[in-house]
Amino acid sequence: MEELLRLKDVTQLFPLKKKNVVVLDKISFSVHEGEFVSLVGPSGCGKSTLLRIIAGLVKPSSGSILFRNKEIHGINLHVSIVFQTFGLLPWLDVTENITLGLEARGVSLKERLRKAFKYIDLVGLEGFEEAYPRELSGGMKQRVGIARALVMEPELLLMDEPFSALDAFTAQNLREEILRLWSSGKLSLKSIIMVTHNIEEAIYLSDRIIVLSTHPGRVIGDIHIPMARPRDRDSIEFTKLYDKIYSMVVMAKI
Amino acid sequence: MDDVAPLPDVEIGEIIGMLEYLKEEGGKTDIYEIADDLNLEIDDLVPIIKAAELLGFANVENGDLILTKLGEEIVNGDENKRKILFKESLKKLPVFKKVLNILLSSQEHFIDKHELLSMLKQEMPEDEANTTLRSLINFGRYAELIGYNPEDKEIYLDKIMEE
Repeated sequence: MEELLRLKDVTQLFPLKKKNVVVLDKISFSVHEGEFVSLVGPSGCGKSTLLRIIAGLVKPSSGSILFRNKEIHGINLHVSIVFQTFGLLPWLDVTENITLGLEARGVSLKERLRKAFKYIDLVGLEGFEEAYPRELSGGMKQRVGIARALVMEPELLLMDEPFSALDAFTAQNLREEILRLWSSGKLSLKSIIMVTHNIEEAIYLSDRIIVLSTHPGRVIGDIHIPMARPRDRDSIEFTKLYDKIYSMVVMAKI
Repeated sequence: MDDVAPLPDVEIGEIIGMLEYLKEEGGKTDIYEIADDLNLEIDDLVPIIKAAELLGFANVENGDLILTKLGEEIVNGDENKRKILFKESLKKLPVFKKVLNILLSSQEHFIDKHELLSMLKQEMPEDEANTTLRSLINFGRYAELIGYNPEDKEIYLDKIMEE
């Protein structure tokens, strides 16, 4: 499969008391089409910052981001982000929240609505079109967050702890939904990168897990998950991978 | 007419997530083990189990939670199939029957939210009437059985039903 994204020596410094703290230290990896990659690491390893750098929302101190072999400066229009805390605008209803980004790109109202209804249907939000965020549960809010990202028809979807603000069952339900969408072939998506601190979730969902250390954030592991889906959390293979990655993350903290 | 029992204060995602979990556990598991496994309080788990039972998706037997055939269909179905099955189950609940009857018999097929709330308060305590209304709107929207317009605060019939 073709390479979609490449990070070359991405370094991020954060000035603190006249001294530069290295948050991310020469991060290099590639993501290919068809891959679901998770970034896992202890809190403070800069994984959310890295996601923002990939989206072009934050400029790295040094290093470069290539998307389809072209260096990216500024916001990457082929990328959308799903946030942990949903990031919905409370004064807009579900449909308006979903189409906001299209409106900003000058898409006509007719086309906006056509696309909105397509993704509302895909993420299971039919019936909630006119609801306001305050009327929605966390799970439904995140469905809006996902639809809002997908409606831009990105090639790369970034998800920053997308399930960690949800209760256990709702999170489980949404993970299944993401897998279902991902494997449906109905999306423009070529790859997904997800940041999570939940190792079990990373193994359950991804094709590959990149493990980051903290202070500074460095790539300390790049593990392929060869298991077929749906994955059995109680299987020996799953447990072995869990133990392996868990010990890497623990070591990364020390 | 049957007694209009209150609806539990739960979300669709919680119910389906629990059914998915249950299927992964082989369709049957001890309720206390679920709580233990997922770090949930039994108090948080009970309304979700009640909702699943009410809708016919799971049964409780001797402390075990068991996935029903319908529950399994929900888990295996795609989003549209789930909505259809949900709709069928909702239509059998007395509280939904009552609301649907009101909507079908009114000319404009809608009812004011506060009007419906006071009707529910005649059947159950105020707290439960409030959560029942919330779940009614939530479940109804999901199943595309009823809609709710937050601007006008009106509950309406989503699609005129076939039957």
